[in-house]
Amino acid sequence: MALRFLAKHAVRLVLTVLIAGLLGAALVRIAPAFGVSEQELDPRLSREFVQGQRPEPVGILRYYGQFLYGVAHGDFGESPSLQRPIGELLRERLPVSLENLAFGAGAGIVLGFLCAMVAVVFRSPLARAVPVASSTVLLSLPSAALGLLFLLAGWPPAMALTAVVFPRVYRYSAAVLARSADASHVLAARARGVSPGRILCVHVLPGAAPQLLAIVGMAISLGFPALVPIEAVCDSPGVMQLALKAAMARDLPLLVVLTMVASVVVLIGNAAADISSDVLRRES
Amino acid sequence: MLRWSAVAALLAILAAGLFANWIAPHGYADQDRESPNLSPSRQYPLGTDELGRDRFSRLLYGTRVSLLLAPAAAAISIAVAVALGGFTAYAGAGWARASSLVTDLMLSLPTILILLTVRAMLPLNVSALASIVITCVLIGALNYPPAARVIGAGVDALLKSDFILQARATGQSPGRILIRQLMPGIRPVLIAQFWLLVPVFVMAEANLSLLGLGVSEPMPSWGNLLRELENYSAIPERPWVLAPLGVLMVTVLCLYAILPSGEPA
Amino acid sequence: MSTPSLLTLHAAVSGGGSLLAATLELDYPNKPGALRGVSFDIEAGEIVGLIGESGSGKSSVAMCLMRLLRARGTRLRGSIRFDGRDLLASSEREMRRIRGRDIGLVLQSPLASLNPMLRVGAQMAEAWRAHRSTSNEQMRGEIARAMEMVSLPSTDEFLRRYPRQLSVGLAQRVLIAMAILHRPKLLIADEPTSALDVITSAEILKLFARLNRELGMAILFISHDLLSVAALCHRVAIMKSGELVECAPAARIFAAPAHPYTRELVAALPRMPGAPDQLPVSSTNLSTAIEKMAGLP
Repeated sequence: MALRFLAKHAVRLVLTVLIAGLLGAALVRIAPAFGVSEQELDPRLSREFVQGQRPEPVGILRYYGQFLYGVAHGDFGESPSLQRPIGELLRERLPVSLENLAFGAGAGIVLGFLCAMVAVVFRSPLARAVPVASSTVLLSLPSAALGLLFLLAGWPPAMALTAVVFPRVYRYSAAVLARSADASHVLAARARGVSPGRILCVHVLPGAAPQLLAIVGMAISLGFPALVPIEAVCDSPGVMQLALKAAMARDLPLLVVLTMVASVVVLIGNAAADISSDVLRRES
Repeated sequence: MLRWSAVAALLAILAAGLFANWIAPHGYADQDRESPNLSPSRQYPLGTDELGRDRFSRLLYGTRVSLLLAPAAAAISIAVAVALGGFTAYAGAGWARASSLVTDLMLSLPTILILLTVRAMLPLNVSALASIVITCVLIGALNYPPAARVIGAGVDALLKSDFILQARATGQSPGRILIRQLMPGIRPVLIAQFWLLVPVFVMAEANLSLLGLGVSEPMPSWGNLLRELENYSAIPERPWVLAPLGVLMVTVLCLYAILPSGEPA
Repeated sequence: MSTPSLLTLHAAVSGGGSLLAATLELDYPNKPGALRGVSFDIEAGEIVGLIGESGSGKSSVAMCLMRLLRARGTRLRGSIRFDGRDLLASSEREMRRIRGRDIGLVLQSPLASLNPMLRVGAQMAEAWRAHRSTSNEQMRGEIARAMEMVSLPSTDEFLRRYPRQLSVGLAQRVLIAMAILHRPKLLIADEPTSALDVITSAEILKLFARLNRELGMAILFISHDLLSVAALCHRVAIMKSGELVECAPAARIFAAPAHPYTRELVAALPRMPGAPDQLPVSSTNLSTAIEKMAGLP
């Protein structure tokens, strides 16, 4: 049963990435800018020379097939703008981004959950007002601006991601926990004089656990793309900074690979949260 | 009460942007090469930038661009979502599944990377007005899936409802049912989605322009104005450069947060 | 209180001052005046019924007495004197000690009031440990005694069940067993029978009567069903839109309802065939019927 469940998610992941890749390849082929590089705009080079360097035009499916074959052999192709194999760029930069994601989003999730729990246990106005006010302000600043502010303060880029993830996690988890705390059995437990800590751990959290895990998935799928502006402005050498550079240099092959990589990270995050919350739901 | 104050404050800010032509003491591109990087003065209320342009005027024009672009993009998103919803309601099951598959696919892909990819395919050095249109259309069209989900679910529920069955039973034409029965039914959903999307798109524009892929110079927008952050070492000594913009952004987005429910979220 | 003489008589019989004397003023942020000067008292060992239509504020009374109102902007004024203490002046920590030990609460929907993820035994143990730290053997003995009192089997098999494996009636008995575990002086039952079918509901009513008799426990019985309240309670209080309109012994409510709303309530009861027009059931017939039904002497 559990195996079938896992398999379903794996198939969905692979299919999504494959289709996304096909769309990306199609984009690369039909884009008016395909093969048009700065060289072509350079009057010093002759048109014949530049066009001689262009790859032979091939059909979309064929191109995609070659691309997939390459990927299967660890070859992601070469980035036209950087003149380097994309696989090498990924090996160099993906760990940086994943580290940013793990620390930044992780801290945001923990902080958000903690604030939500404090707000649910002590329903004092202060316990609510502080996180609500800070999350409202954080939600009102674009992530690029947050990145620059943190850079100004001399803090690491991962903390800017924390500032992006925290308010969203707090909003959703506070709502989920409040709903769970409104359950009749929680009221009944309070009427029996059970201590607040025990009410939170035994009665409120287990009921809310599936939704909280879904929030973790959301934080990952939201946090990874948010790294694009953060890494760009904080000059953190991750894949997301590369994505912006690729966009500026109109490096479509690199962009398509990066989009697929980001999709895989986002989908794995979502699927992990889906699976674990489903398992929890099934157990109870 | 709170809600109406929020509406009034938003309208005031929007009006300041809309009438920038009359309010602003200078044009957004007027350069005074003699006096760059000035402190606030009577002539330049918020000082000048490095090209000698009046910051206050640029803030007003930038507000106009950002506050008009986001609702327009939200309208595009909702139009796409409604078109898809109406299409799936009347098209065959196969088409409906295909369109929901595409929506699902779009939902599971990181939007900002798709935005970058598509933007990279379009020419980068275009006129300011064209850059506004491109930014608006891209943000609106690529962010349609969440709205499509909600609106599609709304249309589905309506189509299964008894009063639509009643309308069909009395022999009304599909077009008439669409206009008379479906549209009024999903209007609240559309309005709710609109208010949800506008602040998101204000942020999207700011991010994109800040990265240099949105509205292009010399046209100011909130994202463009935020690029001043890049000379970050000067911020503490010159608070007038960014503080007004920051306060304005936070105020407007908080007001948007208050609008739908009438209470601070 | 329209009948001071009866009240003092009752106090004399039960031999002491009143266990609970409350005057409640409650405002919800979206509903000011949810309770307006609701004033009543309960003697030790007395069963008082609280009747009212939905939205009249009767459940709010229960929440006020336990100080369990947590919604933002809720304002509770007045006074709650319970067993020589002022509950409105008590801290949350003191209230926690009172809840479950001195005042028990049974809620409306039995299955929703049990944590679906915990076994019956675990929930009983939690209720015990909330106020007492004793050896496990002693705890098991007390739990078994409480369960016996509500006619539940205290076998391991039963204690290991999850709430979803219980019927509504069994779940309600489990909740009552938890509420009486510490022998509280007052038991508040908020519509304990409205989710039950007629036969189970009659059994639960009998159970309340027995608990009152055997443990000398005072009960505030909140319900919208005049007949079941009349069957069980010594006195009946009637609420309408946040106010207490009448409070009198059960028999008098039927024989001589003073307030127009009470008269309406009584007139709305199903009539027995062949009974006189004025009253649905003649009051003497009714009180004997009630006594039989509730197993009262």
